[in-house]
Amino acid sequence: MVDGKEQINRVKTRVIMGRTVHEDDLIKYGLMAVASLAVVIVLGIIGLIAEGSMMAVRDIGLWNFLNGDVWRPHREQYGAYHLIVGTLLVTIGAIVIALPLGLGAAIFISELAPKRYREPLKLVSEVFSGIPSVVYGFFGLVVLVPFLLNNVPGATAGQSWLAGSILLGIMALPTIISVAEDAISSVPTSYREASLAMGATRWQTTSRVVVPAAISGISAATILGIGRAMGETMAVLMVTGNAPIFPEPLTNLMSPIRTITATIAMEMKEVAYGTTHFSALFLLALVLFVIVLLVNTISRVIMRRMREKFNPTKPPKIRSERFIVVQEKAAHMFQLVRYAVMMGVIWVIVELWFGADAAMGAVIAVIVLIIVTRYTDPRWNQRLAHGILSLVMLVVVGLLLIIITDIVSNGLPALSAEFISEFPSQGGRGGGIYPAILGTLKLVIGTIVIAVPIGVVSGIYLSEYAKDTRWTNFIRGGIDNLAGTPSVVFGLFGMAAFVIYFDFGVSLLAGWLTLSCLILPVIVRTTEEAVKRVPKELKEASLALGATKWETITKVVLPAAFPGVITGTILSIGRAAGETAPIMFTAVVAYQTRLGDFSVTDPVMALPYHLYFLATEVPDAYDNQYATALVLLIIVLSIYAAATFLRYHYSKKINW
Amino acid sequence: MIKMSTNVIEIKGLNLWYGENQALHDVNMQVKRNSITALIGPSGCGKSTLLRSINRMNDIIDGCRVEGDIMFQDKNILAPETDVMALRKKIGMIFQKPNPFPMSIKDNVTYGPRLHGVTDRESLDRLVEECINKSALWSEVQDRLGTSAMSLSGGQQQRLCIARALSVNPEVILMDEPTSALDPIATNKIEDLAQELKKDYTVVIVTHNMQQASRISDYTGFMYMGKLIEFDETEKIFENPSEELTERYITGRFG
Repeated sequence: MVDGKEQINRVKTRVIMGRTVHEDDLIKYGLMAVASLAVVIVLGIIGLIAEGSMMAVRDIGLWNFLNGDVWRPHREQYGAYHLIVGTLLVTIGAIVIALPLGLGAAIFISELAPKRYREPLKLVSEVFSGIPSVVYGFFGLVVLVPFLLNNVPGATAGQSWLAGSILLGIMALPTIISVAEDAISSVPTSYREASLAMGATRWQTTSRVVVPAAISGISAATILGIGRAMGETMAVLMVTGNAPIFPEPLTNLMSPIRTITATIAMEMKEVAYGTTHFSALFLLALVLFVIVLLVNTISRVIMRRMREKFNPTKPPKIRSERFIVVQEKAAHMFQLVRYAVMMGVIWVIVELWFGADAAMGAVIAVIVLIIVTRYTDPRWNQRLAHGILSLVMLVVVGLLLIIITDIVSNGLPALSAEFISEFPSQGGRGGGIYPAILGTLKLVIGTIVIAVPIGVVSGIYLSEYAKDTRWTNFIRGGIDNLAGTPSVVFGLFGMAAFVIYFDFGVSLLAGWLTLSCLILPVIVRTTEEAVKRVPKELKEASLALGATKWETITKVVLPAAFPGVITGTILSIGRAAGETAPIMFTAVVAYQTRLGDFSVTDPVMALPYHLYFLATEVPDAYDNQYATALVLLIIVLSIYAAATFLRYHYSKKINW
Repeated sequence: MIKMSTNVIEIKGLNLWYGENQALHDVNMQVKRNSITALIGPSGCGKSTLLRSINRMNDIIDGCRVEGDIMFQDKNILAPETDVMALRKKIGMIFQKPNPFPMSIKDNVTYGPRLHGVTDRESLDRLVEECINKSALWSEVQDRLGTSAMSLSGGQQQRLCIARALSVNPEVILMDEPTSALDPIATNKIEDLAQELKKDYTVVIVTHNMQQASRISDYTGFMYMGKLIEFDETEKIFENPSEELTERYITGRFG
């Protein structure tokens, strides 16, 4: 008798209510139950927001709401037209700023930077995305707004469309850089080699082969950036001035402007529950949700096409000869049209701000440049192009350095042991931020406890158990969309569901649940992807030894997927710690001078909201504002640093 | 006996390092005009590296360092002042995996000429027909020049890549295992094409397929561990090699 033979031969089935059930199936049903929680949340958010806005649709009418141009809730006037246009204008401005910078930086990182600088430069973009939006808003308010007021001739207020666009542009940079860089560097090296081997310069290769090949990924990056900018709340709220008016004239970049998100964030705290106004805010959120959904869907479709292009799974369609002739003609036409549109855009932009003469000059200059660069030495063109790209990269790195050094150099002198350990006093001007730090920790820890197990289990279920049915694809799509949903929409949902419907009140518990909904989709997706990346051979090796699926998952798959899961989770925790909009109506109070016994039904102070409160309501608390921003920045960036370190650490250990 | 002809390329004392790793050791070799020169040897022996030195494609590899001379048109192309772009126009390259650009068939061929300033549509059209004709692909694609090059089969793609290389009017064509990703029929076509090309161009081909080398080449170099062990007329290498190592390799006793 071989040792342990008895254990090896143990039968892994149980009899439950007279039926023989395999242990593995029991586990499967358990996982399914947890995963369906994610489904409930997806459907719940969409359902509750839609349900909440029904009253407004009934009272105001959808067309009046979308088309009405007066937003004056105290007079029962709810025309969202200005707010929608405001959102679009700020977003367009942001993209005009972010696209050249982001694309230039992405090309620089992928094509120009020596290999050893690539990772550090990507890190720059990650730090950008790690800075909480309320910190951007604070920086905008204390540095950018006064700067614009003092330096733009004729400016009467610094809080403006331009300030919002610049800030959102900076915030959209990391999205554009990382997605575009991904697209560009995934263009096969063989294309570059083929072009270089024909005597093309590096710049000719980049501009004529690499960038066109990556164009769909770059468009996707741009569209994602637009989605990010549209959904941003705190930063725009703090720097755009929020007057619900049109810029007058429409080219007045220094006009105050108001967005959908800022309206929700400002008015939600004061509105009475159950009124038309309350419902109108839900309808606003629904409009925003639909716009962002559309934007994200477009970018996902484009990205899928890009993958299809490089790794075709379907044979190409056979086209008729006539179709091809037409297609070729269309391509020639398209090139002309493209130039014409480009000129038109330049003309319109320059004409609006600087007049027709300047516009004519600009268009001629561009045409001359295009023609001249055809005949100048390609190497000279390359030097020019590479110079511009390096300059762009320098600007991007410079922007980050300016923001970080401003907050560190002003925050550090005000930071002390007392500031960390004392209660605030004099309405936030004195004392410390102890309760806010504690509150943020409480919020984050509770969120981890709730969201991580559910998220990881759902991710495992989706990747290992769920079949590829229409239903699971719907769930996947829903989860993807939630990951791109503006955080203020989560705030609204949390308020409707947890504060009001379940009657938890503004409380720690409501905050936990809201933040959990916010980060759940991210955890589910990163888990699913990390688990999917584990090679099939490993799983098969385990299954071939007679291991059950669950044993294979726990002993083989999860340990291998662990690095991916843990980094994704940590990143989402960093996000939860820095978010303001989801907790401002669900969990926080502005000011606490003493703490009672721990209770999940009491509200807490939190760092991001405290910073918002100090920056907007207590303008003379300069030192405490900066010190709070610094503490928040340190906490969030160290969470990101931990994730980066872990990823780096594991990437050296595991290779497949 | 092949009649003596002039050298197009002369490689003298070539050493090459990837970082600390020396990949080529003192290589000396001549490439004769209008001939096919094959480089054979086990994988990792440096034959591709040697080939990529000839049009300086190793420049794009970080940490690559070269010593020695490669003479082409009386100039040392390894000299820092060499116009690499002009050099690569004169010395074209075909890669292991067919790598057409994700553009139309026509745009693949006009890419190079446009790059170097040809804009006239008629001359471009003429060039397209001429090059695709030379690469023995014309009859297969003449009525679908506007379709994506990605829709061609692997062998067709590789011939398109050859047409693309011809479009900038090179003197020498380097082929880096051009048939290793192709089926036997497509391989056959490429081999015939190489024979055809030799009339107007000079071909250097890296191959891991010894039969291929013996079938199509006039000269063969055998490389091992970064050294050019033996270089001679193909007939001599395969029938009566002077080095024992060469003989062991071509008789299949290692490699």
